[in-house]
Amino acid sequence: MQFAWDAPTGPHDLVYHQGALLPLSIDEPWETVTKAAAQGTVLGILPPLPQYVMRLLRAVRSVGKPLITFPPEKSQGALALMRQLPITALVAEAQDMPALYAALTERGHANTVALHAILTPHEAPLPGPYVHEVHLVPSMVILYQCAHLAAQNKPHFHPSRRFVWEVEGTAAYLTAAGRFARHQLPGTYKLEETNCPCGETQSLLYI
Amino acid sequence: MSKYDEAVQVLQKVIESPLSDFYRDFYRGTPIALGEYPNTKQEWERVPTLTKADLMRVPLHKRLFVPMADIESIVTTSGTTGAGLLATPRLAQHLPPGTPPPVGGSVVLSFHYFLHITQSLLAPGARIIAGDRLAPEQSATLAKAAGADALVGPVSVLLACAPAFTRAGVAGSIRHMLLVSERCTALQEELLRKHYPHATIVANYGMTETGIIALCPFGAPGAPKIHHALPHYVVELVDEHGTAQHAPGSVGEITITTLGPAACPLVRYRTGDIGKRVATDNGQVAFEFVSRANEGSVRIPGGTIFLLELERALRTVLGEPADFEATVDEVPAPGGPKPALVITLIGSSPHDLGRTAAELAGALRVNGARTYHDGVVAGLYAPLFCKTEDAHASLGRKRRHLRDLRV
Repeated sequence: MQFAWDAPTGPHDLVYHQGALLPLSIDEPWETVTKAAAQGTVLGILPPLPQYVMRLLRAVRSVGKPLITFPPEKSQGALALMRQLPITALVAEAQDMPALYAALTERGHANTVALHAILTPHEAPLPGPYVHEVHLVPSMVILYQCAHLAAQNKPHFHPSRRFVWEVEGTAAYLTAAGRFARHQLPGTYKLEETNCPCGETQSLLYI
Repeated sequence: MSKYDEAVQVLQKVIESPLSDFYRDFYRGTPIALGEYPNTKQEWERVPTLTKADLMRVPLHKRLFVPMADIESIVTTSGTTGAGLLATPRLAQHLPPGTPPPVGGSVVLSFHYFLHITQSLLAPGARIIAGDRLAPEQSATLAKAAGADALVGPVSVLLACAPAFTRAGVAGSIRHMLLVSERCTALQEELLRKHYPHATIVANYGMTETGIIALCPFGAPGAPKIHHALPHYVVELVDEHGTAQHAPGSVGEITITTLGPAACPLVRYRTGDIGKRVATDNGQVAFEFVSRANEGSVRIPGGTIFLLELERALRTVLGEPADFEATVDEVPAPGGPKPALVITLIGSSPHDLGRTAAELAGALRVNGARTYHDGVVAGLYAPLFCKTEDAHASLGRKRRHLRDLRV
């Protein structure tokens, strides 16, 4: 994956990702987490990458909630914390989610916690009660599912409005103004006009 | 106002707090609960001490002395001491104006560390990078790209990164170094000085539930490692009765009281570590770290090994009576020597000790798998070495007799 990055002008950190140095803005929002935090308390079970931690911190603090994040190897401890604090949403990488769901089920929390699973581009969604979001690099959401799309259990996402999307044939290109241009996502896609109950008018489908 | 006066004010504040009954319940039946606060330093030293177990008995939300909206994060202890997880709330902290943001990477380091480090590294404005044991080349690339002049991480990690930093031509640019998590042996210190010749080395002392309590600037090679308490703590070395030891050279459990803003202020909190008091010119508390108070475990890089677990593994592998010593010694490793657990079997054994070591290494898993974006590293295992009884120099020795060997 090659990026033509322009360094952001504001505060940023550098991330080494798949052989490239990426300057990422510290102000990058994580809107799905912010929305979940506004409705309750979010628990992150995430690799302790600074970009995850910093943006999770900003997302939850923007609505007055605390940062609670654990690396996957300490997930059992994190779930034990639920005895002390009501958790309403959990965000984790998709590879870790089935085990977390099993643990939550065992503890009787499976129906009270919204499960946000993070995918890499063109990674298949998991079967199960998950709301998926696709990150271009950790913490940068490019595709997400509303509750309606998540319920369909299909590789169907709303494209983030923070980027310019171009779909030519089955190739999807992503542009972030002032940062990178026409970055082609791996895989093939179909852009569909939709009338989603959440208010979005476009969805992207893996094909 | 003396620090003890400030500590009494903290005590008064937590007793009278409308937000939490924690300390009122904790001191129930003592004059403190009735508002009779210490008036002298001697009276302060009779205030009951607090332990991790005392905190763990009370759910997090009943230990909050600030509104939940003021809590920036909730962290927990690792659980490696066997006492269970303690959830600790932390207040928001702000980077000083003009502080460059931290450099990222696939780095296992919490955001809070960056904040603490930036504020306390004695180098405001430093461009900090955290070394990554699993990605030394990337760490060096990041350091070069970011113009990093400060390096933070466990000493074994910083040594593992040293060759890559040297190849990238950035090792000489490191001016500040903060060592976390692991004790630094004399040989490791020597190697650090060789690989990073311009770095001023500082080690921190602290724990999850307290944050960084003290800093230990390294002096000349071989000089004693003296930890200087940070100003927003009262640090005491107390005996088993909670009485503070003041004489230089006296030994006691490191006990702290938080003076600065805290979501759950700690009053005379026993850290579980033993320290030796060191005289200072300015009257500030300084100490040398001696050991953990808990004799049932051995702290090693990456976790804690419990002697009971060792006993179980040895019973499985040897199946016969033997005594052993678990020590933390320097052993060879890529990038330089590092502390590792050394099992010394005492007495005769028909088993091949090398094979025993290999079997034990498989039986004693220290950490769970670590997941990185570039892949998953399966569990980290204690580097184990078996020796015979003679010739071992220990840094911290715990001797234990195997019990019930027929199991």
